[in-house]
Amino acid sequence: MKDPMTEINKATVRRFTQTRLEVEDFISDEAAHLDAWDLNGWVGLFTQDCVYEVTPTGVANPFSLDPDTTMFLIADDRERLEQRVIRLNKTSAHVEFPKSLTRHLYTNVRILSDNGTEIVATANCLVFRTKNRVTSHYPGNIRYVLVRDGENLLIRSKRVALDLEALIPQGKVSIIL
Amino acid sequence: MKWSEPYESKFIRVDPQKRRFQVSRQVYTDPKIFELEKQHLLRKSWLYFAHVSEVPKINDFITRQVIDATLILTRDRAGEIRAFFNTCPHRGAVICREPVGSKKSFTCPYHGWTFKNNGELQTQNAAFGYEEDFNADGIYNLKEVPRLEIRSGFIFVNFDADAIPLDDYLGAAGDRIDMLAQHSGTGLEVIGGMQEYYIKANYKLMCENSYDGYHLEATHGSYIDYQMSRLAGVTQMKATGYGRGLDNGHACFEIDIMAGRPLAQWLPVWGETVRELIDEAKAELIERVGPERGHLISQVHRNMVIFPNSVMNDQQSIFIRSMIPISVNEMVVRAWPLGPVNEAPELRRIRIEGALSFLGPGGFATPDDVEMLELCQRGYEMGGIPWNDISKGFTAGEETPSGEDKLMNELQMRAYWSQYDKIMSAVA
Repeated sequence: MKDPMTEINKATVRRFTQTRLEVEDFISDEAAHLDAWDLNGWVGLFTQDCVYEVTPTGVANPFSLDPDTTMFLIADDRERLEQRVIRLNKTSAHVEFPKSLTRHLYTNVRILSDNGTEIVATANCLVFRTKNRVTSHYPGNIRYVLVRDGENLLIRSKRVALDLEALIPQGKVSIIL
Repeated sequence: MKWSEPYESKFIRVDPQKRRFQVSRQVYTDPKIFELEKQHLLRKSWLYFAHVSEVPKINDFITRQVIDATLILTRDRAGEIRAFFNTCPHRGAVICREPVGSKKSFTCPYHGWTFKNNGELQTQNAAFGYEEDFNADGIYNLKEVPRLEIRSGFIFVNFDADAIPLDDYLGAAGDRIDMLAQHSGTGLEVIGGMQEYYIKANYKLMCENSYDGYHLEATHGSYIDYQMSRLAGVTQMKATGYGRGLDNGHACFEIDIMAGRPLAQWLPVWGETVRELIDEAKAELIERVGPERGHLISQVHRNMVIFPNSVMNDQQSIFIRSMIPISVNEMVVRAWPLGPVNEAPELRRIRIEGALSFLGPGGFATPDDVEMLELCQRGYEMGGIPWNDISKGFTAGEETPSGEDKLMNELQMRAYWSQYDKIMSAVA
């Protein structure tokens, strides 16, 4: 017996599988920009109305928080994001001089929706930062809102929620996650 | 203390004729000194713990570590704020494992002893085996921290039952804490998003850093560049200020500068709606406290260290820090932004923005401080150079704990170390 719901779900899954491959390619490229410290190239992946956020540690509901009422670790609009990159490109950004080694792992990509122009996706992340002979880990979950721009994707929103109760022992978020 | 004769102890070395003031690097590296500090200094000082707005309602609680102890802070069923050691009087297990919540009683997970939120033992969870008057003398109630006192909504604790009252301890710093509270006619509240971060450095380094005007240009050049980009259209750029000792080792620098803040310093980059709100906030303040005090509260930015480990910053935002020593060369910094209760959303947004872009561990300045402190700690641990220099501005006859000096000098730190030496030289 044919179950129409199953058919719909299969179709949805198939469509999302295509989207997932597209998103995986895209955020793997994003990670490559970051690991190469190509921050100018990285900013080029964002829309003009973008936000880049890292929620506070030790909160239960990071994806429902509002940066206008709760203090995030990072809550950048396009202007502050550009300023962040300008700063990190300077040798006077002491915390990242000499530049730390980073390795960004973005995995377990899940497509929550794709309406043809806008994709909402989540990914797990584990970022390693090595400096002064110490390696820090930043485990977390990322929620992306991506928009189609012709053949390409652009990031309208990237929110990182760290699986940390506090920045112990990381001490800071001086790299891009 | 007036410095006119040469002086040398295990901790500081002062030569007024050569205008030198030095601090031993062992105070950052020697585990024996750290143990003495914990016993005679940290456990006998008033330590900032929390703000009353963190337990706003009856039965609210938070748990938080301070020095070696984790405390439960409750607003008990009668409305009284109390702090208890978070360990069961029965067999010692940590009782409350949640950082924040609301509870009428706390039950130890090990054997089920249950305590009312005023500390009283309610039940041992046992049908037999105990005399009925087993706890008649109260020794099995939760152990209360020896002292807890509140100044203008800021809760301090002290592990020494014989400590002087908080108000006497704070001295001239007390009025500056009152000024923080007077930012608002509706009271202050802690804004969500407490920051907690680790630094591999002695906790006193973060205290020194917090009111060190001298390091701003070299360490924070990249932040200043960013800030300048936001000050477009601001003409009143001249800054005047000074460093000042405030009794008992507390000190601050105060600076009359236009840097933008949600109380009375509007920046063109914020737009006209915000301008009206900021003007209103200022008018309300002047109406409430008068023009002179209103100026001190709204225009003067202040970085203040409450000896020995608390920081109260009053700049683009109100920002409190508490440095928790973990070992001689490790600390955890805990930091909270505060704002007026019922603040206009536009002003709250600006307040949060100012706090996270400068003072947060994901911001444009604090990560560089963290790096500097860790570099200092590594430098001390190399050995070879026994003394740090904090002579900038020092002159013979300086009255360090309560004196005044130019903004970019180091009097604040000399006030800290004079007090430190007074306490530690008596026991070491």
